[in-house]
Amino acid sequence: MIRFLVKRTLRALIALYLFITFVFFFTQLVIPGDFTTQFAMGMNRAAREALQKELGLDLPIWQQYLNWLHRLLAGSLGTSFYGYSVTASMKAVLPPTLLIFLTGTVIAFFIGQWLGKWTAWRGPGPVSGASTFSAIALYTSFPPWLAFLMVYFFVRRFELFPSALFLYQNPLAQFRQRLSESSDLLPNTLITYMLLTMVAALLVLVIGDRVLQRLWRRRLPLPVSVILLPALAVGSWFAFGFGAPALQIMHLAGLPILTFVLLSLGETMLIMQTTMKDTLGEEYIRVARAKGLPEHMVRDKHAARNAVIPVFSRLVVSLPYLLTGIVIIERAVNWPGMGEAMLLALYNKDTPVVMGALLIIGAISSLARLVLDVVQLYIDPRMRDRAIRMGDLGPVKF
Amino acid sequence: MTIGDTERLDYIGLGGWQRFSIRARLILRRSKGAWEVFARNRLALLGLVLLGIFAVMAVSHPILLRTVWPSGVYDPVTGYDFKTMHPALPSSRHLLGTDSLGRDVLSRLLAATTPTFVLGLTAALITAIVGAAMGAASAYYGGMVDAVLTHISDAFLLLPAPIFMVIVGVAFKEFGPVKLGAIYGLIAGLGGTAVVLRSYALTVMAKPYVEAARIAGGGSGHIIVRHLLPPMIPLTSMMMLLSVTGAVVADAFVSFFGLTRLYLNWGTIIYTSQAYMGTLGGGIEWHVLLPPSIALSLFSAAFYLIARGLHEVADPRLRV
Repeated sequence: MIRFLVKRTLRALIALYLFITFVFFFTQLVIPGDFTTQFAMGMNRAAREALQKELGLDLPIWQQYLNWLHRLLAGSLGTSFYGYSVTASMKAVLPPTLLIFLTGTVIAFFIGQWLGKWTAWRGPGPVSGASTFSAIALYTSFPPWLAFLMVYFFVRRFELFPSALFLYQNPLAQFRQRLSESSDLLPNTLITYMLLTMVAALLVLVIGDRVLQRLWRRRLPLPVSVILLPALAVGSWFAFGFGAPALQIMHLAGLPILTFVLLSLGETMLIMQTTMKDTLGEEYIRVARAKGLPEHMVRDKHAARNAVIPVFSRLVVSLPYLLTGIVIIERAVNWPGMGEAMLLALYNKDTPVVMGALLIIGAISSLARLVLDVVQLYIDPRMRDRAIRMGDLGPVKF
Repeated sequence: MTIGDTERLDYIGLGGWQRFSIRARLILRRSKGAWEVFARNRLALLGLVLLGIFAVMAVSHPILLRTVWPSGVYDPVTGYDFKTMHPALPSSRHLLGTDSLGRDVLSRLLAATTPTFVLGLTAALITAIVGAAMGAASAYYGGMVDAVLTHISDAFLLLPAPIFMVIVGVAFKEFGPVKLGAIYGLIAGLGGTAVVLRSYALTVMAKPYVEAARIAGGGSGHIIVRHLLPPMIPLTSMMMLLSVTGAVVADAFVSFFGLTRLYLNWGTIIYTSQAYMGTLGGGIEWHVLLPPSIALSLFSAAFYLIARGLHEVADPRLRV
């Protein structure tokens, strides 16, 4: 297992290295003019050259590249042209984005694969036709338009979510003012805690499921785990003593998460439906039926388990696009995350921030791919076999 | 020399035209079976119909401007109608109404169709060429070539094309649909498409006829062009169509942020309508916002549905 992880990490690092090199040279070489020529119009020549020197823009390109790489290895993303540290600003915007990305992806994945499985199993009919149709509509909808509609209906018309989400102000900053009266937690720290407890709750559920299967050969029924997961997360928030503000944050984040789920749901569902239809024609399904297994067993353990594998590999490909979707949603609801920061930097020609944000997107995608690789190893026996044959994996029992 | 069907036909002693007609008939017969599979899928047919409607829209705009619409009133960018207040709701004079700057919405909608087609087709072609070349080379040569190409596609998988296009759009405001489409095609081709096509090409390489061709003395060029690429065509065209969907949405995304406004597309219409929503004090102009959004969705849906139909042609396991 360790060899497998090391190999995969190395591969991810090589890809990440190629990616950042490409991003660096692209943003440096292709964008004409640097910060000094763009904004420092009133400066005389000497002052401009001094500024170029200070920002390190007068060096040859390869030296700039090595400098940048060197600083990157030291853990710094550089300094913005406006003087602040990119690392600090990315740290400030990362938790809100991750909150939407992680919760949204998990929810969308579960709903999507469940719907896909169910519609393929039931075959053609009015209900599955309608859900296929809406999945196609969601998949092909223009994301900003969908975000706009969500804000219009859920904030303006039905007033289900706080109106801070569509006014030109930072909802978390407002929230922070209210929060500072009652406790000394910062919203970002709070969101980080929330993320950690949610991941922990998910792990507890998965491990509990395995233990249950090992000991009593039973699994947690789906409705139970659907109720148990949020219950565990919210329960732990109250147990740690930040229940009320955490729920308020969830109320704020509800709309972006909902929009993100809608945006990414369609793709998962459509792929799951296609692959599930594929597997239903396979011979092992007929064998499973002939053995006299109950239908839900054939559906969940024999068909769906094989059908979900391509869905995972598709998720790997679409991760950066999902992150792009978040940029749009953040824009539409003024959510103070990565997307907002990056678009602002783009308008200001603040290249270090843009590069930093792209780098973070790349890093998140590679990390998520590593996680997905391990998950695939866990659900796909063929992958496991291949890994064992290549000597990356001992004969472990899952 | 290899024994292909050309040589065999030469041997029988047929003329050029006859040879061509036999080959055409063979292709026709093969594609007839594929068409039957395709046509059984109602949604795929719907996609074709939608595509036809968009083609008519693209063609009709210049004709309408020449004949029925006086260009001073109906020009998609500079037109202004002095006879009504703007924004005007749909009427017989302006079928979809006008926007707050007094331009006819239908004219703008139609004018944006051609650039969208150009962008989509450029992206599709480049995706297909780059992806198929990468996939075939990886699968055929293996070893070092495969390793290098796989690392490259791994890196491009990390790059979100829409955001990248926004960066390019900021830098080069004059970039038109062809160049933006090419950028999208390049990223999609080097990244996701190459990965998918590589794994498919590997399964083709494992087929016995490739082995046979190699034993018969076929060179690398011959095997790739004659034996490896043809079975990859259906899957490649499917990826091609999917990249149209991606490219169109990404391009509208770039325009939506108001970063490249030098050519008209559906994203621009949505952007301008939303941008003037606040400043000119009007409410939400649904009659301006709805048509381009629906057009965008339907345009991508058309290509997606055709791709889905092709998937059934490409994947014989799905044929029941």
